[in-house]
Amino acid sequence: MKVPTYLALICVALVMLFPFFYMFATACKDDAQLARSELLPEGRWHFENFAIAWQKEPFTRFLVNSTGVALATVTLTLLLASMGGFALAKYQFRGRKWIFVGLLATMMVPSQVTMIPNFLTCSRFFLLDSYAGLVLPVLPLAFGIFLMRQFIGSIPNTLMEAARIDGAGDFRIYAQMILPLCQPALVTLGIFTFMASWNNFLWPLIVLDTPGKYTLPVGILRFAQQYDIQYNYLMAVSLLSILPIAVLFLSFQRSFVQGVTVTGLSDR
Amino acid sequence: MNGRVRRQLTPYLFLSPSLAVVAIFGFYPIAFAFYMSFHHWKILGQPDFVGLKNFLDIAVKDEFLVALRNTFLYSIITVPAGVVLALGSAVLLNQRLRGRSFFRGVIFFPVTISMVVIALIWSWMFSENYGIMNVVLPGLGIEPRAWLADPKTALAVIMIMSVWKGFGYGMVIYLAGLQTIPGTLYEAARIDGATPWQRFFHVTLPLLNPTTLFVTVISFIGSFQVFDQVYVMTEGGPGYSTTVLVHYIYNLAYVRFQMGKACAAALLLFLIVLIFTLLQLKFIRPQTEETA
Repeated sequence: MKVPTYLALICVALVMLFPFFYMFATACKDDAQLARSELLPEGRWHFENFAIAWQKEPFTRFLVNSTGVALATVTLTLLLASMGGFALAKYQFRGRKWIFVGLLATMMVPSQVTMIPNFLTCSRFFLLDSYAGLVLPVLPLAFGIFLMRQFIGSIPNTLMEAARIDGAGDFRIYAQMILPLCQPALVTLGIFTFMASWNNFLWPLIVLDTPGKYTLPVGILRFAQQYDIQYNYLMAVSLLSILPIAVLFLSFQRSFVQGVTVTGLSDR
Repeated sequence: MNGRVRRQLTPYLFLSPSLAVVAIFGFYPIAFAFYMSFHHWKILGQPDFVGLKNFLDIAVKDEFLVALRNTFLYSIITVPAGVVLALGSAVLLNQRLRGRSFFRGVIFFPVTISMVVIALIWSWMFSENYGIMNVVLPGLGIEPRAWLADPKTALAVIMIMSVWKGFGYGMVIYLAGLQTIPGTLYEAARIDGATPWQRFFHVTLPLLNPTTLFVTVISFIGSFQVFDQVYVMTEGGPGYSTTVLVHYIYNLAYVRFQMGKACAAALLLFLIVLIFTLLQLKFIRPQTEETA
């Protein structure tokens, strides 16, 4: 059984890795090598293409934008979702059930339905072409609150009661006891949110107008849509743009997998 | 404010920032989309109430029907293909193997990467003049062609690419599902003399029914919302050969500024997804309850 299994797995791995390898090989070609459609550049590998391509458009600017937007999205999501999840998990109050059901209901509606009204809301409140407009409408709060509620629910109440007897207020219990205990859930939610924000395409495409505000996916696509696009430079820039996610993936593979397993709602 | 009142207010205070955001960008837009779908509005001026006209107008337009047909085609091919590949790779990678986590990582990696970037790589691989596919495939007896500019092949390339990018997601869920099957069942089957294939079809597969249901429903919902790769690789063309529903909605809203019709189309999309999801739940569930 072992040999056929390995053969199958190696074939699959080659198919999965080939496009990335081809992207790298393409990025290292000059025009003549591109025109010969060879797999590997014959002669010299042009590693300098990465530096040249990066200068073709303000990609550093796009990188800063993508990073800023992703970090803001992650920070806001972690903060708001942990607060909301804490309230729903550890307090009895009027409307608790309805708030929870209402939040879950928003997860069922596809983003295409809310996209157009949100676009109009953003235009009314001057959020178009702004970072706030890029972040606020796509915060994955319903999912985040759901995840945090499940996790915080498993923290024993006795811990909270003990802290309360010691004179800790509600906010101190949240900030100094619940948050540190939630670290695994926060990492999972944070990585999932970062990935979703970094890769988000349709919403930034709709909201953004000024090239200086583009995030990487939009900037790369606009670069690709130029009339005389050079594929070696396009592949070089694309490869650089996926490096942050690749590094994150290699360091936190487990959290990525967990994030995806608990969501059931990826790809938005 | 005394202590008790403050205690009662506390949960609301913790929830209020989230609820404010969800109210504005979650609840309100759903209500507004319903409202708009019954109105004619071109952004400027007052919306006019037109009843069901938007829905009727869309439903008879060729463009919508073509988009619906393409989306459906995309869905019924990519979903089963993705589920089978996900299940197969999960079963292979559930054994004790050297390099297991490497193979898992390699298969899952494309899931984490931006669809725009992936779609650009594949466009380049399949490009007519210099792409590698027109060098490799003739060796296998397949004529070189302009894959993405040919109405016969454009959607097929998009489908292959999408399955390639996405099946690692299903694999991860199947791997989690496989953890829940007790090893004693396999031992019992082995003692009864079951072959590996029999063990797969009579133990693994039935016990994975809930997982299969979940993966199928989630993939199906995702497949009806396909957009990024179409926008990047073909922009819906050539002709309307790759126009899908979300692409059609995008064009209505942001190219033609027909917001009412766009909202109506988005709600139709939601309705279709909802109906099919409920059907899947209804038809697959009784089976899982039997086996559980």
